[in-house]
Amino acid sequence: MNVLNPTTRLLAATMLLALGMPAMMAPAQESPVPKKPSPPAQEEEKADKEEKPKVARVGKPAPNFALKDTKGKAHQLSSYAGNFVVLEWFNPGCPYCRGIYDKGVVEDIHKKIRQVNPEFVYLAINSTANQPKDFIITQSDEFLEKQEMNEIPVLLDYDGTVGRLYEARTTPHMFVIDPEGTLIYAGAITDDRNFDKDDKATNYVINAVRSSVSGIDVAPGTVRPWGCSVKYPDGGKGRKPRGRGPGRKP
Amino acid sequence: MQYIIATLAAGSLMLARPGFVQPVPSSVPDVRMTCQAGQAAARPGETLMVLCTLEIPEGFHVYWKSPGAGGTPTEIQVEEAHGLLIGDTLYPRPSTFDDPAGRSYGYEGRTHFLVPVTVPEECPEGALSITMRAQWLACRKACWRGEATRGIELKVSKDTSESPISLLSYATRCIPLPLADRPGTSMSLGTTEVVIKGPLGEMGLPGFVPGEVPGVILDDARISGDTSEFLVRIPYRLEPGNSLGVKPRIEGLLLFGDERHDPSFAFSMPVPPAEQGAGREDPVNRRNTP
Repeated sequence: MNVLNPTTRLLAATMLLALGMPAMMAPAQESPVPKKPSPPAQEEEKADKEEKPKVARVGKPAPNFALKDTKGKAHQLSSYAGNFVVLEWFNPGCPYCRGIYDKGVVEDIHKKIRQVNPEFVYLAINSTANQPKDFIITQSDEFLEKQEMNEIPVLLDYDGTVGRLYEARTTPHMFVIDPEGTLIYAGAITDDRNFDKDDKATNYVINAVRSSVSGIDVAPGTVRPWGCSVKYPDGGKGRKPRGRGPGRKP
Repeated sequence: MQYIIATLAAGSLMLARPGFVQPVPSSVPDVRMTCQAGQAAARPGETLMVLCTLEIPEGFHVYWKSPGAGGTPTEIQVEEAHGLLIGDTLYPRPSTFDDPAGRSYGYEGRTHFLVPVTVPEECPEGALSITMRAQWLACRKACWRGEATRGIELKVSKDTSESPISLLSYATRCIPLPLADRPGTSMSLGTTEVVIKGPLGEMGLPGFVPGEVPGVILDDARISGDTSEFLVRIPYRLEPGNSLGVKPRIEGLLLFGDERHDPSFAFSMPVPPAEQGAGREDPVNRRNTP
């Protein structure tokens, strides 16, 4: 009583095989007992740990990184030393990110910082991984084209490495690096998350640059950022809602 | 038949491809807002609750007033108050969401917010209209901003003795109580740490949700206990340069149980000037230029 002909059976088998593929292709599970590294390996590991910055901290040198933009051009943070660098965590799929362009906030930053540092560098970093990479590239380019701001390079951080290095939480989340390479501000772009303050809004990025140029303390150096959460890759784990915090029984 | 199976097979192959990303929802989530007075009428001088409910579509969430790792707070405000005295919005106990960006706090499903409204003594009798406005960010893989305004009618009468609507009782149960209301529970503030201890109830150890105050950094809470008492230690440090003019306070919630209506307790403790000097760490606000 087999109702499927051989071709159909072959296709069905392909389908079943495909559904089982992720498990087969997953890396072998690691042994629960960590292997003790050999002494030279331990040395290497130690040296590696000492050299790499853990995460970006305001008041400390901004960790270097190298990323390619949507056009394939390589960007290395250290190559922009001597100028202010503004990093914007960027996702044109996020309404807050679109809002700061629609309301002219990014344009204002360009205009005002150029007055004090004509060669300043503005980099948009896209760590979004909830869409295929090709889509992210097209979406980013089309958005900036439409905003007539396509001189802003969009750096692709699809695996989220640089986002995690800077602990970028939201889009937008802004970072300002001074010409000496020190991170002088990290946080919200303005105090106007509802876009209703117009000229009365405080632009923290512009303030940080102006304070630094004037040789005065950058205050605030950190403000809680607002926006959408950065859509980092989740390794298939997805979101986990939980009722409360840690452990239940004492 | 063969065509259908072939299509399914091709689809399965795509899904099985390592690194394949599920498409994000493309349509705007239909978050619905309703508002009603907690009682149909109020006397001059009386305080009543306005209850605003967000119906959040399945799979989406909106954020608590301190959203955590990412997101933007939900705001519920009175837009037109007509001389009424408006209190701070009361947010129900939030849930915790762990996603790749970190831990955030917010709401799924049907969520009730309360806004205390006091009718002034001199308020004339008659009907009053109040306009409520809500703004939220609803997320599920991607995020959408949303807002709504709703008008409600409130009758002011000297002789009224209206009972609160039945939903108000449930909505009130979901609002965290002051920590001081929990019997036997104490909170003390040291120079670098807040310590909360109290008797352990049937629901076991509490969870901790940090509140966000500019210039106050709360580190991970250490929660422990024995058979009779729990202990929550919350290390903190102050960054006065990042306070945006807000006086330092240590804020947060202790949550018992898992459900939204299970007991939860809020605290907000000002940091006295003496502690501000001792616990102060402000490495970010050094002079940045040589």
